[in-house]
Amino acid sequence: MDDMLSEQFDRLLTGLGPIEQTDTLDTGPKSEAWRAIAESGFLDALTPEEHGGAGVPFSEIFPLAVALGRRLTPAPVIETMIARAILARAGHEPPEGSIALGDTGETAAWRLRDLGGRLALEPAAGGADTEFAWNGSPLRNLAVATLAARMAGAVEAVLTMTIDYALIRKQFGREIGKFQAVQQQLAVMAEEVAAASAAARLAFVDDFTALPSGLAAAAKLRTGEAALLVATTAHALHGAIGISKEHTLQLFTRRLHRWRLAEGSGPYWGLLIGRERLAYPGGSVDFVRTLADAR
Amino acid sequence: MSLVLESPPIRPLPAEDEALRAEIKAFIAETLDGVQASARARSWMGFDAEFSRKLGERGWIGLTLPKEYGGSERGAFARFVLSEELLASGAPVAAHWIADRQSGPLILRFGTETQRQFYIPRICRGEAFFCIGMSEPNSGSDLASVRTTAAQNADGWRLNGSKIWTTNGHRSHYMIALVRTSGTPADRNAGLSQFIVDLQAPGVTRRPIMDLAGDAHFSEIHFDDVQLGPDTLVGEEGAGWEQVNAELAFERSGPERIYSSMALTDAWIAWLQARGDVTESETLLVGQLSARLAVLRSMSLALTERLSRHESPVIEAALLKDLGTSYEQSIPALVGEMVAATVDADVPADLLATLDYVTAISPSYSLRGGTREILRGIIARGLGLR
Repeated sequence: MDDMLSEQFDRLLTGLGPIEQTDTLDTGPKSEAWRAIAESGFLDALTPEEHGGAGVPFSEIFPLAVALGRRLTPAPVIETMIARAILARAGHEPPEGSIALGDTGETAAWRLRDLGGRLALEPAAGGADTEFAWNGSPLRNLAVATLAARMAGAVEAVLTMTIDYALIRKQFGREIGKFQAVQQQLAVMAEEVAAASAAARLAFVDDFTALPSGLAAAAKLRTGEAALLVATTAHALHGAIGISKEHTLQLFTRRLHRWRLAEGSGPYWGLLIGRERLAYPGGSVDFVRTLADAR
Repeated sequence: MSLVLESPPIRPLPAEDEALRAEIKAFIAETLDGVQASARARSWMGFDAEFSRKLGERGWIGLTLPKEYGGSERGAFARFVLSEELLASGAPVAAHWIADRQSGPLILRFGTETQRQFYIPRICRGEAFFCIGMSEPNSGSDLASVRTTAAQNADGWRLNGSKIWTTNGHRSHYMIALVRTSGTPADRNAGLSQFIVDLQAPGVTRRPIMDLAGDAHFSEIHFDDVQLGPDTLVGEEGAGWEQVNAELAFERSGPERIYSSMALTDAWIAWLQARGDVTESETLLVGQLSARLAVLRSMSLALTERLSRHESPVIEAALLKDLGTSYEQSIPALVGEMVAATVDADVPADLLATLDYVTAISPSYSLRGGTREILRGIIARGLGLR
């Protein structure tokens, strides 16, 4: 995905309104906002070309997934891209409207559920579902890839917000960002932002139908750790104003905590990758290398 | 910090670099057969001249240096594979490590042709070991305050002063020393220069310092009217500070900032695998350490790629080093508590010895190569806070 498409995507997200609105954007069956997203043409990015899509590798939509977090847009955009590609591959015409993966996504017109070896597409309003065989990545792996990328984008936005504040807010006669104690905390936040980005990227394999659980685990566990530290430190540095309802910080941090716990928290994924490591006969470096190269 | 996101997607390494891995693994399996985890835990603090010479014979020192000086002209990823395999297996690489990582590339970049032809082939053969003379009794993190001086005279330069905490100072052939050639400590970064000091020269006295684990891996070195030849200055007089900083991204972004506790991690996991009945707490810790490792390794690879494009990602390297050393340092505490949580278990003596060593030495991880506070200061500057 080239820079031009990323910019176009950013414009699309900006057009959805300020983050106070995108945070609670209705993307249900009657959503006007969703129509704008659908008309953008991005939703078939992952769909193979022979099914009328753009056939973009999953790895290349990583910047888009991050942008959703940076702009605090929980709308199931990447989830719908994934679901549409899955449906098209299975020979089903993707429906109009947003599609959530499992229980993630705020409001969606449809929900794609993993029944283990089979998937079911259900209308959110109730009614008959479509079931078909699926031997690709478990949907939960894909759901956490999108959550990890959102967290990576959101922690970056929170860092930027906190640096900006630290350079304006004055106490004891100078900007609080000039105090070493504050600088050291911001440096640690930056480290966690970088780690979150690298972690989320691990889950963005070229072929999303083959996303190993170990990579999904590493991505979710590590972005969750970063989300906790960044949210906590950002509040500490913002002081009381960050607690107020009208400040956007709390919108980000509340989302970060929800995303951190959604679709399995750190311990869920930690046990999963831990069992894989214990079953691996070699050393730890070989284990993570093999995992990363599985892409 | 959008700079953080600019890192490209991580691909499997180029096939020709990956091909090196099997050869190195075979060499290590043969050479280090039977070496215990407690010895492997020393890794790049483990000094074994014979091992280094064997690597040199295989062309595995100075891997990226030009062939005309005895190097192998391989790329940064080949070097990553080599470093990773040596460190992950706890090979005793200390003897040549600094020459390979820093001194060789420094001499190649800033040295005279005579210096290149003399030193680099010896480095590549594993015959010339280097140490880095930075810290002094009153100059630690505040490196610009060094007081050792080199004064120009008819025969070259006259060196006076002392260095301390110099890793391998008492068992290296040469030191690349950062010293003052003009001005006073009040002039800070200006007036500093780098010299190659022959540590056998008259006037050099060396004393190993015992570390808390009972090893003598560092030392103090005194220079008493040491006469240096005219061709011992590396690069420009007065440009020492810039030259030192040019190498820092290489020093801080490699696997040695992530893998220092790997011998302990793997000895512990091997014990769990052999013991069986792994508890949920143990499994979770194994998983957390694995997930964090996967992320750090991918960050180190991303920085290796940027270095291979001749960029100098100083801030990102500082950021990775702090993350990496925090990870390495967390391991002895986490693993130690987990091992001791099974009070009736029959824990292998070698695992306990490894735990004991790594627990004791791990505070050094975030001191060597720039302290945590200094690194965070560099990051803060990168964030526009100073």
